[in-house]
Amino acid sequence: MIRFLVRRFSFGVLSVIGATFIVFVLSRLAGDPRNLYLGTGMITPEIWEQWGRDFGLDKPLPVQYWIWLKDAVQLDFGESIQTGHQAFETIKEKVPATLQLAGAAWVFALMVGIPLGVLSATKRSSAFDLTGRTFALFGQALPPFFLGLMLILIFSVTLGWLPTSQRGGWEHYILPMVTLGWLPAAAVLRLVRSSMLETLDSEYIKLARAKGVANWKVIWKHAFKNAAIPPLTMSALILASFLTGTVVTETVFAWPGLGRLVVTAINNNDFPVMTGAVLVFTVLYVITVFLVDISYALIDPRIRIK
Amino acid sequence: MVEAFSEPMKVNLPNGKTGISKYFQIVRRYPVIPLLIILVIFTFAIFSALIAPKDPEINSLRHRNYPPVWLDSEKDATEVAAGREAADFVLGADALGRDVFSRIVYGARVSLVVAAVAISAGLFIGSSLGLISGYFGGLIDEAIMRLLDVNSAIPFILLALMVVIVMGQSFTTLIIVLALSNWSGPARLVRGQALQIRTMDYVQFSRISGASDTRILVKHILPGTRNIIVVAATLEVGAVILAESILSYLGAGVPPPTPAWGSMISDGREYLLTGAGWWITVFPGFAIFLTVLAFNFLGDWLRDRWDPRLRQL
Repeated sequence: MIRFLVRRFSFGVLSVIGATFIVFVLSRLAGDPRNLYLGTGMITPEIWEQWGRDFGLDKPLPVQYWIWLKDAVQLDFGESIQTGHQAFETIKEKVPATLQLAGAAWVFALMVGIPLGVLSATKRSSAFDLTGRTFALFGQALPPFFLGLMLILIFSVTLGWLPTSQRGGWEHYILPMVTLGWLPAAAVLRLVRSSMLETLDSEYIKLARAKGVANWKVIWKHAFKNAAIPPLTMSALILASFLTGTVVTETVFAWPGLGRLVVTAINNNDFPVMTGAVLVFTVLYVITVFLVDISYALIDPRIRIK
Repeated sequence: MVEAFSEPMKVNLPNGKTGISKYFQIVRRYPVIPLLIILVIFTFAIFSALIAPKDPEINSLRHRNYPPVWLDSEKDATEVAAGREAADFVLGADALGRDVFSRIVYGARVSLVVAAVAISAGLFIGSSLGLISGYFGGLIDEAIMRLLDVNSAIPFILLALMVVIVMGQSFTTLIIVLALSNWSGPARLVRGQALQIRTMDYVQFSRISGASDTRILVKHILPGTRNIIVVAATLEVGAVILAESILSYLGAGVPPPTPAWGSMISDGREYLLTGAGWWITVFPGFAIFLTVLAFNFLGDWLRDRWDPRLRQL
């Protein structure tokens, strides 16, 4: 088990290094960040030189990456080129908004996906099954930004029930939550459904039924407990996938989170914020995947040997 | 992906049944409706110039946000009062007075061409790496798998936006970015398949009789992965069209004024919010939705026919 953990952990570290290196090189290929200020008249040859020393821009790429990595490990991402603030502070400010949105969407995905999945497995070809499958179909074929805009059109513009954008009270969470959570809810639903169908088919369920256990008890206590393992493990991966999803959702709803911050940073080639944010995204992703791996290995010993 | 056809297929033929129920059976068993939608999209893409009633890139400021022809509007009245004929935009006009329907027709071309090229490129890279990884194993396998890890650890949209900034917004960039996004799925699938086939007797015999690695890979292992590659490709179409629309929406897709469904939606955003023209956004959205839905259905159907083991995809 220890060997397994060490192996998995080193893969994770390797992923983080690989991912940040690619992003770092790309950000430098986009041009020297100093070029952005050429038009403003702010830059004299002295300032150019000084910024080169300050930001390490005068050294070869791998050296620059190494310097960046050493600082980044100590949570120093450098200063934002746009605002001059510490990039780490800027990123830290935005993280709660994104985590709250992702958390809300995650709860939404589970609250919708699990009951609908169980219902459509136990009552096949019923109205529940049809609703569940239509819901899943829509989730997988609707572009998320279009879904968000349609929700705004219906609930904000036409009915006037909910705000169109920005962060605020609970009512601000509903539309972004549904937008971000619909596709994962569909995924959970499908997985719960197929997992339940498989479990309901097993011998011990038949035995329970034969003994005369009440139907709801068979479904929720006997079957669901076992059927829930794969969907629950996957739900952690869903949380990781939100990191990409938030970029779109935050853009549609003008949500002041990490996703929007990083899009702005990319457009301005603000490389300290950009690489820092990607580092945060990647680390969060790798940690989630690592935890999923461990929980799988704990549940299923066969995986450890591989 | 979508589970529509994954019910165990009933094999009882429509024996003795007549009329409507017979057609209903056919529609249930074969993806008739998705194929029809795909046919329409392909017709749009190939015969754009014949189908589109107007030029998709010609502005007409007089017709800004002109409502669809089947909606009664003040604009019609103003036009008639000014002694002109009311305009006939089937699905309305956008903020620059361009015909939404014509732009959707031409947009089909962008979506399909981008999807086709990006998927071919992604499949080629992915399945080559998967084959090599699964067949040779060892260090090569390890290296390729770690590359996959790194690839999945970078949020795709962020990588795409950065590549677009480095390379500039163009058709080629878009295709490279999308190919980068979809090589890992096929790579994993093909690797799994190659791992299995490698142990088959006929592969061992071939090796004993002195066949080279290349020959074994191309002649014996590649054919065995064909089904999985085709299924992966079909399932990938919907995902790639969605990804393309997301990039277009974020302003990183095909450069304007070429019509693309995603950028049309983003063009209409502010008019949707102010209530000045919902049709600019809604119709291209439905175009994406129907196309992706149709390809997902088709992909599921193919998967269930050829490779039911993939059902968890």
